[in-house]
Amino acid sequence: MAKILIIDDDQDIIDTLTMILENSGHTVITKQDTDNLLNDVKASRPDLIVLDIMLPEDSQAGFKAARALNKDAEVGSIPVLILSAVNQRSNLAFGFSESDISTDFLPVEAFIEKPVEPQVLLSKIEHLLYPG
Amino acid sequence: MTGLFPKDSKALLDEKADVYEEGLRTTEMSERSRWFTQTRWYATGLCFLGSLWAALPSLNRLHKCTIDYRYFLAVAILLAVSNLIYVRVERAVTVCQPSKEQMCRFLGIQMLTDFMALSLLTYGLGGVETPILILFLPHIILSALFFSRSDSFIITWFGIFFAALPMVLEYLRLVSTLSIFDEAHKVSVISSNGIITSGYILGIAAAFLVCWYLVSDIASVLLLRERQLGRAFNRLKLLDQEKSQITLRATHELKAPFAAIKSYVYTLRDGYCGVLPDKAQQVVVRIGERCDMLMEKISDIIHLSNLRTATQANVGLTETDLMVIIPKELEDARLIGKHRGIEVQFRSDKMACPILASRDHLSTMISNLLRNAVNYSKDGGVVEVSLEAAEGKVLLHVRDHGIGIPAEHQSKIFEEHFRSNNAVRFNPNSSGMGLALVREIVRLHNGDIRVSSQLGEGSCFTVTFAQLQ
Repeated sequence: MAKILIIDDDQDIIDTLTMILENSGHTVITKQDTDNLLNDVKASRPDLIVLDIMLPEDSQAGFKAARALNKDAEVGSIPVLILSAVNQRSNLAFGFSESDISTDFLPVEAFIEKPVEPQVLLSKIEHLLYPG
Repeated sequence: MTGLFPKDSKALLDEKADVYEEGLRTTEMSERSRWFTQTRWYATGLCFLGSLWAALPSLNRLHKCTIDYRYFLAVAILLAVSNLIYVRVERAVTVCQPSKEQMCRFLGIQMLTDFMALSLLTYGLGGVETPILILFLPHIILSALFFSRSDSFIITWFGIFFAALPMVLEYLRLVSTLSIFDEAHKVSVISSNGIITSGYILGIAAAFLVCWYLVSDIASVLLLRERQLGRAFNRLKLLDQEKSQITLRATHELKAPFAAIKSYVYTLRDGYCGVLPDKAQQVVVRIGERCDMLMEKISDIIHLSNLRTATQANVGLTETDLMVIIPKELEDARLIGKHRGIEVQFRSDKMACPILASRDHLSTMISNLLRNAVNYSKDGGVVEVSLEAAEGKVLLHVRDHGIGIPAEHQSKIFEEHFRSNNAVRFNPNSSGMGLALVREIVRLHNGDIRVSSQLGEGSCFTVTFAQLQ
């Protein structure tokens, strides 16, 4: 089973995700902000990162973190699953879909909108960890 | 704590900036310069024609005057040579992107050359005997429009100097007095009377200065208004960004708790906290459904308030093909109606149907109309969607054969929260915001929406947009 890092400022979301993932045999480590993220990821070496976009420090902290991770040679290959209640696509449009995923705009492997259906989450994670 | 505007925006709103400091932007100055050189070619041509006309003795006799063609020719050559140089300089400075001051100097030099040419022409055409002095005025007016008030004031004084120069030189007998008329019609006041000469020059100076004052005053007021408009525009842009951020934050703050509650509901429902008794399972499912309804209502309210203050400029309309958007929304509507046996049909003879629109908003609009049609259709019913183009317009029809709308409520269905009694009875869970959102999106696209309905027989919504040619 895999080691999964969850980054979300909402403790309730962390708790429910942890419950679902641990129940499926995964090991979960958590963070509530993106401070010192690169070093933490290098130290803990997760197999997958579940990342919220709107964090208290910045409404686009998740975006920035995803781009930073993507550019890093050491951890850039770790798959990132974006998880958010609401995101801003333009001045008036909210909400992403997986069609928005691209190297420039959303450099992640998958996107899930909160609230998370356990089966959807597990299936996405399975797909990211064991593609093909 | 941060203020209403970000720090770097303060400069944009600085009320104390000197209105003359900025003047015209360099690009505008470059365009003016090009306009100047182009116009000068016409003036050169006219001077050449003038010299030809003056060289014809028969015409001179006809008008009882003698014009020395050499002055016209000299002015034409002066203008042609100087203009060739200016065109070359203009091409060179376009590449190296000159500063505003450099462009000002360049235009100022061009004006001085024109003044010299006009001065020579004034002398050659007998000074006060012809109305050629009037041609100084357009230059003074243009300088008042192009330059700062102090610069245009200096240019005006150069104009006065060059306009008066022939008269002064004639009076001082440094040049001979020229006249275009024969002795009987000659106007000889300038060379003979110092007071009249001075008065004449003062009159010209006063006329030029009054002209400069009026034009530069109006120009400065216009410049001030332009800056005020620019500041207001920047302020609105910043407020729009602020509003957008506040909306995003508010949406997040309102949706996040529901997302957490719903996540707990899922973990309970799916047995991650142990197996629930049947009764508890049912309660958990009901909690989840109410959460969804509330979350949808909150999203719709925020979306609607955002749309109400939106303009076409901040939405960003682009070429959008309805034939790309509609199939995707049809798929979703078919999924929603599947368990009630509702069929969603689509008919169009178009391969592509582009309009100027915001893709996201257009999707929301079509999705809401289709959901509405499915939700108020009877079980096993049919929803017919069609797209047609006629007379430069695109018409989208969404027809259902459902419960219909009472005639007295048809004018109110686009109001937020309004729901007719039969709609509430048939579908109690709707937020009552869907059609209000549709109307706002149609308004944002300068479109039109109409409904025709028969109670108990169904409704047809028709949305009209301008077709993109």
